[in-house]
This record gives sequence, structure tokens and C-alpha cells, in this order.
Amino acid sequence: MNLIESVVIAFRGISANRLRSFLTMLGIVIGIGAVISLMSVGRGVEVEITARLEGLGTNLIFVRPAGRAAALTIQDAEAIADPANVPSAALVAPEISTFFDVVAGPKSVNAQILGVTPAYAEVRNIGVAEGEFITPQDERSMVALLGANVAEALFYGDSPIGEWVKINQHNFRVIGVLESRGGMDGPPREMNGPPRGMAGPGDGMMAGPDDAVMVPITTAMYQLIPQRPVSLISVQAIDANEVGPAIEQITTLLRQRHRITGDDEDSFIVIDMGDILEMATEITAILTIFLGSIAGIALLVGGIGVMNIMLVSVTERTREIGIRKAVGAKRRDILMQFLIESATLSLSGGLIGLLLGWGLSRLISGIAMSAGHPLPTVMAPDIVILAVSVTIGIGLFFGIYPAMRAARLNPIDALRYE
Amino acid sequence: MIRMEGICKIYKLGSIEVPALQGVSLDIERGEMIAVMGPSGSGKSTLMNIIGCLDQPTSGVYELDGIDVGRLNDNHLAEIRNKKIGFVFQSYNLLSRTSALANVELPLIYSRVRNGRQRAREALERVGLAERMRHKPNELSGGEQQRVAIARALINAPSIILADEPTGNLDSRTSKEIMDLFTQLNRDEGMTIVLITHESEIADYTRRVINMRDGLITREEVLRQ
Repeated sequence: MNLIESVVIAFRGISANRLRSFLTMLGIVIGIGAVISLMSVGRGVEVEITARLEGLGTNLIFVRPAGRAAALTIQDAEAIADPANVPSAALVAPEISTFFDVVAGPKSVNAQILGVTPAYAEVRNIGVAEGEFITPQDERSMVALLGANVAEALFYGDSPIGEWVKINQHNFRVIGVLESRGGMDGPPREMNGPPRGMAGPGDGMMAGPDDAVMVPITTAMYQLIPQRPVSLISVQAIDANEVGPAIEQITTLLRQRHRITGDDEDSFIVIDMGDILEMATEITAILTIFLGSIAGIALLVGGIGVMNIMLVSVTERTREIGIRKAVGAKRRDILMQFLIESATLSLSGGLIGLLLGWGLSRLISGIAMSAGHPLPTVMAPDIVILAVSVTIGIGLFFGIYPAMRAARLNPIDALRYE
Repeated sequence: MIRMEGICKIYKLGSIEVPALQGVSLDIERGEMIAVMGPSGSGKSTLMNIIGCLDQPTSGVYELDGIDVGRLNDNHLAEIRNKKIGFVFQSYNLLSRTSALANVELPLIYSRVRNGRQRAREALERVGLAERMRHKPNELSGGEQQRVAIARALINAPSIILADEPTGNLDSRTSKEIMDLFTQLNRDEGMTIVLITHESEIADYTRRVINMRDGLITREEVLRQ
């Protein structure tokens, strides 16, 4: 009996007991659905994180205030920038961050206001779509660059260059619009930012530049938000190999400057992209293990369901088995027939689960999108192949015992069975 | 073609041994049509199971077409059932969810024959069911179902057809039709047929009747030459 014929027979059996088959498959459907949605969301997050981190470059180091005596100053940043102190650092970009309403005529949006230095664009890989970035000549002047979303919200696609916006009662002249990172840039900030810890409100480490307004750091310090400490210093190491030494040099320097000795707690944290990547991976891994074990239990229960229904099926069809044996079916033929049947049953459940999981991941993606955290999902062929082979495997594993019972039936007893 | 010598069959029910056959010797020639008669419990069904290679004797020699069947394993027995034996049962034993055609084709599937469909069609024509091939067993009358079973028994051109009370569920008119079909297969095609029955009218269709009682052949009569 060939495979296709057996599968057709199996399908006929499944559709003859539609409700029963469906209930049997339910465990598999849920299990596979969970695995698929989990994997596609997890994969999407991973792709997203990697892409964003790679966009920033792996040479990047972040210094942020932390602990009880948390405070970083512009002078700290200047000290780090001095090659005599930190020879491994190439570029240093401190920033000050807060939130304000940005007003242009009748329109107003609440935006993150970042006080940055000219080096910021290069360190954080931020492009300018229109106009130009802050230059050293802009020190203390009332100029601003708008993120793409802010510009769109205030000026509806008209060029805002040379226009005026009001931030916290101060008038700023718009000198540029930042390049859009697109919808995908929206953060799962919780997932891939460093620990938020003691940082002040509105730190800009991973916030998308699309929703930000950038002004010279000196302007921010002296006019806009006096007394605000530096919220973050981004440091670009000379190359990837210098990241480690740079972290050491920065730590030593800042401990010295802040007069921290011995076992005293640091007033800052220094982390690099590797740390962030590691943290993100760790969170994803924990999530995967947690949801994966739920999925695993569902699959186990589903498998037992398949075994149960196959045992019932073998008993119900004892006479059929007897007939088949009487006309010449060998043990192997009967074994194969029931194995193919349980695999088909399980696989049908798996395919339904695949659709369910796909729908679920689209739903999650959609909810995340409408909540302002775009979360792409990835449905890779290997996920599909995995789901298909896992369900076939479950069908075979849990089908082997019922199939063996069928194959071992004595034809005489089977024929006599009522 | 069939040679049985001193066949014994003992069933074990727990620690009790129940002898079903106690030394049966029987020869059946090619082209014969014989009836095995006897009351229930006489061992005729056990004999049929052994002839049909569904069961093996506890002791004694059974040769089918020169093959010592007593020494074969499960797989070989299945192969012999497939190639050399055609069964017809009292309760037809057709697969209920499949068409008449697919039922007849079933043995060919296990002998891995190609274009079995065509042969199954021919077999159904031989038993006069050309019109009802696509019907499922529950859409057929008892007589028609038994014809399907006979077509299935014929499909692999077996050495022998074993019919266990083939008319037990049929009315007398249909019984006659079925028996006429058996007679015709025996007379015109030289098919060897063994009938198990307890009705003497059925046995009357054959030329040789074997009577059994308590696991032994008690009487053997040749009715017509």
C-alpha cells in the first residue's frame, strides 16, 4: 500500500469523525500555535534588536548616572574626550534630555528635547534629511532640529527650515530635520535599553530620533533646563577591540573625578552594546523558555490525546484489521496504516496550529503597532518546517503503541470481534 | 493440492486445554468442490482457519501446493492468504466505508499489484455486479454484498476459495443464486471451493461432503461423480 493511498485513507478516517478528530487535535493545535507565534515574535524582536544595535555600531559605549550619588556633568564628558585620559575613545557625545511641548503656531506636540553636541550625529549615527546638524558655532544659540515625526506633526510636510518653534517659552529657529528611521525604529525600549535604574526622566539612549527635538547642549544647559545633569554620555571607541580598554579607562577616570574609592558604589554605569545585546538576548531567552515550556506541555497533552484516540480507533476497527489481515495484510502493513493515520491526524492539527500561530503573531504585531511599539514578526520557512516535522514526530511517537497493538491482533479474533 | 495429516489443534484457555481438532487427515484435489458439515463445536471452523492459514496446527502436517504451511512465520502466512486463499464469510466482512470496487481491490493492494482497479472491475463483472461498483456495502443487498466478497476472493486467482457459511445470512432465493455462482466458478473455471456449512441443502451442491464431530472427521461421502 503506497503512502499517498494511506494518507487518503487516513484523511477519510479523520473526516468520518470530524468532531472527535478536531478535539483530539486541539492540544496539538494549541501547542503548535503557541510555538509558532512565540517563535515568530521572538525572531522579529531579535531581528529588530540586532538591526538597531548594528545601526548604532558595536564600538558604542554608554555612560549614565546611577546609584545614590548619581550625577554626570559636562565636565565629565570633556574629561573623557581628552585623549590623555581616555586614549581609546574616538568621539564623545554627552546629552541632556527632558520633555517639553513644542509649539508652532496653533499646533503643539509633546516631544523629547535633547541637548546634544555636534559629535552626537556621528556617534549615534543620525542623519539629517534637510538643513544641517548642530555645529560648534551654534553654541548657546536658539536653534533646533526636528525629528521627522515632530516636523510632520507641526508643519505637515512643508519645510520647517527657518521657521520658529516655541519650547518652554523660548523661541527656537529650525535649522534642520532629522532623517527618519521609519516605523520600525520604534523601540521596544524596555527590551533593549540598558536598565533604567536611577536615570532622570526622559533619557534618550534608545528613543527614536523621529520623535525628538535636538538643540545645542549648551543652550539646553543655560537657557532651557538649567541645573539638569547630563543624562547620558555616548562614547565611540576607536575600534571594536578598544571597547574593553575604553570602559576601563572611563571607569578609572570617573571614579577619580567623583572621588570614589575602594568598595564605594559607583555613581555611574558604563556599558557597551555587547552588554545591551546580551541583556536583550537574556530576556528573550527567558521568555522563550517560559512560553516554550507551556507549548511543550500542550504538545505532550496533544500527543497523549492522539494516542488515546488511536487506541479507540484500533478497537473500533478491530474487524477491519481482521479483514485486512485475512486478505493478506502483513503486520508491517497494518502498523504503517495506523502510524500514517496518527501522523496525519497530528500533522493536520499542526497545520491548523500553524495558521493559528501565524494569525496570533500578526495580532500581537498589530496590537504592538497600535500601542506605538511596532514589533515585526518573522515567519521563516524553518519555523514552518520545524512545526511540520515536530507534529509528524509526535504523531509517530504517540501512534507507535496503538499501531503495534493493531499489527499484533490475531486475525481470527479480530474477524470474530463484534 | 491440499494434504492434511493428523492435524491437531489445542486451544489453551488459562490452564485448561481445549482440543478443537484431534487428528484430522484430509486431501483436496485441484478443481474439487467439497462441503464440510457438522454442528457447532465440531471443529469445522478451526479446520477452515487452518486451511485458510489464519491459524496453525498444534501438531500434524499441512501442505498447500506442496508448501509446508506449519513451518511458516506470520509474514509468509499473510502472503499465502493473499496469493492462494480467497475467503468468503457468513457476514461478508466488507470494509463499510469503501466502495465495492475498493473492497474487491483490497488484496491487490497488499500484493502490490499495479492497475488493480481494472482487475477489480473485471472481477465484479464476473459476479454480475458491473452496475454497482461505486456503491458502498450498506447500499447493497445481502446477496450483492456476498457477490462483492466473492469477487474479492477471486481477484488474486487463488488456489482455493474458502466459504464459511456463505449463505447463512441470506434468504433461500438469494442463497440459490450464490450457490449457483459457486457452482459455475467450479465447473466453468475449475476453481477449488471448500464450503463450511451446517445446511444439507447447501452441501447438496457439492460432490463430496465431509462430516465432522468433536474434532474428528466422522463420515465422508461422495454424492455425485
